[in-house]
Amino acid sequence: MKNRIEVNGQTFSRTLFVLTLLIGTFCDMLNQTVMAVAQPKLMSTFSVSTATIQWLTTGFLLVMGIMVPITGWLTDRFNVKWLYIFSQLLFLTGTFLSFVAPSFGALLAGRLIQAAGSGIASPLTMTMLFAIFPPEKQGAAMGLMGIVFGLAPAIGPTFSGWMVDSFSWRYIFGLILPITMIVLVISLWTIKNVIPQRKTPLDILSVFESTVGFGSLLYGFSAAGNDGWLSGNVVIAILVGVAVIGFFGYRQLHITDPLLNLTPFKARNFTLGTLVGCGVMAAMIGFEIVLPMYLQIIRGLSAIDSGLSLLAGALVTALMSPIAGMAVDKYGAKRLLVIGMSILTIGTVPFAFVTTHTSIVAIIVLYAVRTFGISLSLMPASTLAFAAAPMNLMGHASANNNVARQIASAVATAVLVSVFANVTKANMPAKHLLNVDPLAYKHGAFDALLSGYHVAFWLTALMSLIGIGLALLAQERSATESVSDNTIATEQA
Amino acid sequence: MILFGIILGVIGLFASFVYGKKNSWRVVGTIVFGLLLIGSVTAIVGNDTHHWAMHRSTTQQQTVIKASKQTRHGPLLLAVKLDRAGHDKAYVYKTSGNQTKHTNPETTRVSVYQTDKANSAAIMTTKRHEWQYSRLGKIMFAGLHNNHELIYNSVNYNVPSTWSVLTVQHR
Repeated sequence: MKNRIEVNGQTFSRTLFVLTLLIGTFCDMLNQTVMAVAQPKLMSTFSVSTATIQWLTTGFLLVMGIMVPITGWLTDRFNVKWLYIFSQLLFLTGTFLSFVAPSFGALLAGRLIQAAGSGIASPLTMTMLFAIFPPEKQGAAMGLMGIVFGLAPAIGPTFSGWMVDSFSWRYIFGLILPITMIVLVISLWTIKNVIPQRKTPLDILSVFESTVGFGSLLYGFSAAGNDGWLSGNVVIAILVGVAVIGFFGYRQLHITDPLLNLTPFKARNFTLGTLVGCGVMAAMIGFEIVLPMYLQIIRGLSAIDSGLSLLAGALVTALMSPIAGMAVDKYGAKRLLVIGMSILTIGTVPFAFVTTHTSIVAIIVLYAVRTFGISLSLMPASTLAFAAAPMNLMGHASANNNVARQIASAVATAVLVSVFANVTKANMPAKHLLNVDPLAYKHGAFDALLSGYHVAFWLTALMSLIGIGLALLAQERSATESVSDNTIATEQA
Repeated sequence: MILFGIILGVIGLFASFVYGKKNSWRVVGTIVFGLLLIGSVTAIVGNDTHHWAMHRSTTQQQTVIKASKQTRHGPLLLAVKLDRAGHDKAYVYKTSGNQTKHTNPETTRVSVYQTDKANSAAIMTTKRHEWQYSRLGKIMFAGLHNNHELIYNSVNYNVPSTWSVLTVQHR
């Protein structure tokens, strides 16, 4: 990696710039996956119900969903160095409030402030990373980010379980706190304003539509997992979300200075890269919710042990992401995506046959096969998408890509959780059997749960299979980029 | 060997598809390593769901037992009913070391036979039915740690005529 470079009239160390972004993103990503394991403890600490505690995750998701679309405009309008520092300051404030929270309300407020910081930092990091690398090195840059994207969600639940069991839930935030402080302080020197600014006006109606539209849609899908698809609030939230996002999209295509410029979707590889990325996220996030459930409920593993079982997979991601990044630069993203999604599919299908006695070693190895496939697809999908977007719209391209992935994760999680719940419920033995013959009931209940897991795992395999089809439609790099860049640049002019 | 096949299959598939320079080598490598990966994964599933490369085996053990309770009517073999239907019972007995033990109703099928003799010893015959690897299977599926997987245990109690079997409801 060349050390000192000049971008947008700023000379700086690229190594330190990237290192700062990686550590910041690691804290962000870790923070997003720590809540699930800690929820039972938090429910007893604050004496709140399951529905209330869910808001720590749902609220986080909603605020992020609201912030991400606005980040395209923020990136255009403000000095990105100070925007990044502002996002880290928000994240630090939220983390501190969560750490000292005397009540559930304070903890929720802390989580929402954290989400506002993460919502800005996530797409902004991608934009800045792409801006400081020449096209032939962007794959490698994304590969570095892939280490964080793969490691953090895998370490999060184990770390959280360990903190809750051995110390206190507060240390989940307490340990993130000093790292975020360090990121914030070193950002003052290492991060530079690498994106040129434009004085674009803020379209208030678009902000309203984006907030209501994405907020409702994400809320609807989050609630569907618990309340069911036919619940009134779920149906209304999803319908309102889809309708308002429709108006939002129409408005963005017809105003001079859109809040979220949708033009990058006119480039075929941007759309396909974003869709494949959505498929990988859906196959990854949904699976990472369902597999620990299987390990803990059917196999009786503790939260920490189930987390540790998945650690080998995380290490495979850490190892393979930079290799995949370099391969993207040399051979193009399409090749990586096709083989990555194929390996992901092959690694997922065996999970649709798991039994009550499947070898844990086999589960660890097959999970590592899946993460091998994910590391060849997740960041290469972003590289394919961003490489097809024009540089002057990179902030908007990153925001679009992030919004799409976030919606895909929410939809996949809701679909998998609700399908799992419905299949399990349909196969559950009659309740009276519990009194008459408890052991027969236990066996029946385990069989019902296994049917639920099998269907959920088949769905995940189907998502990655669709990803192979989409990856095959992508165009090879050189031809696509020049055409799309010119097309969009002309349209912009 | 199968685990090694999976690892080799994944790495080989990736390397030949991505780094393969000559088209013919790329195609051959992709097919060979792809088949190795799919074959190994199928073998893991077949081994898990249909016990490929395994056979049923039974080991038998006989133990002299003592009654868990003595009454004025004689020694008792206590059967604790865990459900209303009476399908699930745990049999309580003592070993020669006077340790109280019980059968696991989830994994054990129990039969009780009373002999004609009054003074013979009470014998518990335990048969463990399990899945065991063949010699080749042991090499093929090394590392999975699933040899000797329990199918079920069967326990036969042969108790003297002086013994009684008392069934009580678990509270």
